[in-house]
Amino acid sequence: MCHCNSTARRGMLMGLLSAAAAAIVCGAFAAPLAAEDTLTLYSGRSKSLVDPIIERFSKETGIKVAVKYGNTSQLSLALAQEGKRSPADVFWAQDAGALESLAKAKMFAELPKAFFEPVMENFKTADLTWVATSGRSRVLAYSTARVTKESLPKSVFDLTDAKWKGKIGWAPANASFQAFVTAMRSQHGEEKTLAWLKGMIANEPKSYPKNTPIVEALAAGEIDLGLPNHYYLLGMKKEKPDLPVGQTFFEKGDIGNLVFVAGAGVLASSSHPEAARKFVQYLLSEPAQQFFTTEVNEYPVVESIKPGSQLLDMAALKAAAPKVKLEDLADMAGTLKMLKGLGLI
Amino acid sequence: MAAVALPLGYLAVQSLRAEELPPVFTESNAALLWRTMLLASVVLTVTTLLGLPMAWLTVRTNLAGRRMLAVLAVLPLAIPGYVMAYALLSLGGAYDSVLGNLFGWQIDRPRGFLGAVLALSAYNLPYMFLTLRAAMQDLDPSMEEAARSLGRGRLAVLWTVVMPQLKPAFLAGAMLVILHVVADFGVVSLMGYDTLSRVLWTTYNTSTAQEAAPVAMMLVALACGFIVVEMGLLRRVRLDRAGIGTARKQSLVRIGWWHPLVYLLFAAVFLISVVVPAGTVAYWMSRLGAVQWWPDVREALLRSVEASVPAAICATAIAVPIALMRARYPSKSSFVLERLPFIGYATPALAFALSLIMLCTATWVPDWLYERIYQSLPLLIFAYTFHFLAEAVGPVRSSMYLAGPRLEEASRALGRGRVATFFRVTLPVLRHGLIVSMALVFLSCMKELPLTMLLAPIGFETLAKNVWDYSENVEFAKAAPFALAILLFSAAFVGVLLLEGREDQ
Repeated sequence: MCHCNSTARRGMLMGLLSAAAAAIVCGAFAAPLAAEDTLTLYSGRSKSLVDPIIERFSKETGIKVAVKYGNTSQLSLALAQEGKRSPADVFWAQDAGALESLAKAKMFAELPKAFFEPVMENFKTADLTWVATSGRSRVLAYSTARVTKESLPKSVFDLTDAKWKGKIGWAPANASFQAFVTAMRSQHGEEKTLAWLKGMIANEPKSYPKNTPIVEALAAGEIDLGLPNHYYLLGMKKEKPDLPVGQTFFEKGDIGNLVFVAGAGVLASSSHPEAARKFVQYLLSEPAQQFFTTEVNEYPVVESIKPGSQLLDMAALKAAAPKVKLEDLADMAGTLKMLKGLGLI
Repeated sequence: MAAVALPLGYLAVQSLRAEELPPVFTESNAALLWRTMLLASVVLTVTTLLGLPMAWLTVRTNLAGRRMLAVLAVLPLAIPGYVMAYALLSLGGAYDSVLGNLFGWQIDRPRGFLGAVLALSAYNLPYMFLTLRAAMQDLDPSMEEAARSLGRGRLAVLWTVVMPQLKPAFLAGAMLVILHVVADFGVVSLMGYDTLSRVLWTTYNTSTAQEAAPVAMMLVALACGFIVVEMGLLRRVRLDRAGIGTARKQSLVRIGWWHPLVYLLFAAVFLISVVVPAGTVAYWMSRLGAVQWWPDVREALLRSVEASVPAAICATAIAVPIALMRARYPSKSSFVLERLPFIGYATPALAFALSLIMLCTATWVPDWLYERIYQSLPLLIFAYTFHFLAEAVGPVRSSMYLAGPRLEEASRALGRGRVATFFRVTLPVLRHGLIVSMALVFLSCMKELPLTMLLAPIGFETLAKNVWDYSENVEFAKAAPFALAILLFSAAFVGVLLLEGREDQ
């Protein structure tokens, strides 16, 4: 081994080590990242979906927003652990379950009643802790290459028919699926729901971790029918218009057409409550609602906005949707118990 | 020590606070445990059967281009598990499948057990390859020569002399592979093969942290089981040479006419582990169109690097004294010390992150301190360092075993002090191990998600976070430049490290 070489190498190693140490020391004494006048948002909604509207909010109001993007349930665990010391001002969640559990832990400050006035009746939350920001529905997705629209089941309860054995894809671990089961329990009772789940299991459905893999499996010909949310297919068709997958509602009022929401709340511990409320209110404003429906293919929650061209109009959606209130979706715990009992999660 | 014990303490506290403990010893968990063990043992077998010859061929033979092959063999570590799974799935299926588009072949998507084995083997092979490789570089040929001169045949030498010397490295690699398979959720969920991690993931997704803690404890306990087994297998291993003097350079085995066959082996492995995932990402990229992605990618690359590089260096620096204690001063306490990192490694990342949040936001932490440490870059580096410390310990440890204490003793006898001996004798001897340690930790940090999401400074968007964010919304084309950046930068980093570690000519 050449001596000079090893000295140089050791020098490099030592250099790297001291650089790392220096970085840590400097970092430790650097000023905190979030400045005084910046609003801190924890967003369980993807950056790629919501970043443009947040930037627009900043531009229009002059309020800077620092965003922590992440997975909704993980962020809600972090918020619960942070408690009063949370740096977050606003939590914007992908699904109501996470918001409800934080509301139960008294993490949210109440929002002004006026915020809820423009929100349509079916998207109104039970109390003032958080507000729905956009709507989505459960749908029946199918492989257009393997089944005809006429042969599709009319009700989600028909999926237990033996002719669909091994041909259905679902995502029991997914929050949206769990919201749907909760709705079924509230509308049809524990017994009927349990019987449906058992019937489904007997039909040997294929399990996927979430909605998009269901749609992909439909395209790949792995399954014929699937139970995802409505907007994933619409997004995927933007990139691949010839994707051999279609989606439809079950018959009017069927529980399989459940309509539910994403939402946001202001943390009780917020150090910028004024700006935080302004942000939440902005999510209900015309430009934001228009953005959700045209860009993200979701349903608006305020009356004045027309749903995007890919979606049903509001009257048709209301006719298709089952009569379930958002507060009926609160008993997530009962659903999880049932799913666990069946070994589904 | 405290850094690793912290998450355990956190889990214990949370479990005690839970109102209703979820049943852990259930029939369905037992079934899942069995499926997990089955998957882990098959993946371990595959990675060993491939990793062992690949390591030997790139270290002990005159195989042309062996350094390049070694860099390629490490690359799968730069590919997030779920991307590997997506890539394999996109091979088959009735619509827009890669094999269909390229060759008109129609195959089913490789889902289920087979898909999980393929993806996890491809992804874990580098752990086995790298740890075995580092150990092989440090083998002393005089042992083999002695055995040969005493009349043993080539094969007998391989079994009775070489293999036992590789034992610590193999066990270190096996631990990493097994713990990875047990912890993996991204791959098995996409492949539709249920393992224990599903229970953990769904409880963390649907319950409070208190209810999830016992499940996390169960996984840690399982890892402790593996650690105990490894402990039994590693007992009384002493591998340094009995003779005097220093290790001689190894002579290379000439493989001559075997070259084509060897290249075929590497080509087959790389086809699955490198070409398929990298090709898939490149294909996504080709559909990106005229989108301005470079500023975002550059920004994310800086974020990834400024957290991953310091973590790799810190973890390696901490691993050295730990491995030194274990190899030179074997005792119960040094043994426990060396095992602790594996417990930190086996603690689910989410629990690890939550425990740090608990510590930082505790009421007794003064405001000024909280504001400076919570969600700061040093906190993230700290979390990376201690979560991935185990990856750094293994390679350093196996180098240490092979080096033996004699050189250090000689240096001390010649009048050098402890510190001088450490820097001028011990560290250079450990070079191969140190390099592999750094590479492993670096690559893990580059694709890490839960720790980054919860502990990084607000607005800190790494490459891995971008890949995850876009692929969540099926915008694979937009995810592609970020995934490619992870791949290329990781390849460059590992390439530099492996070149740095070459034998001096």
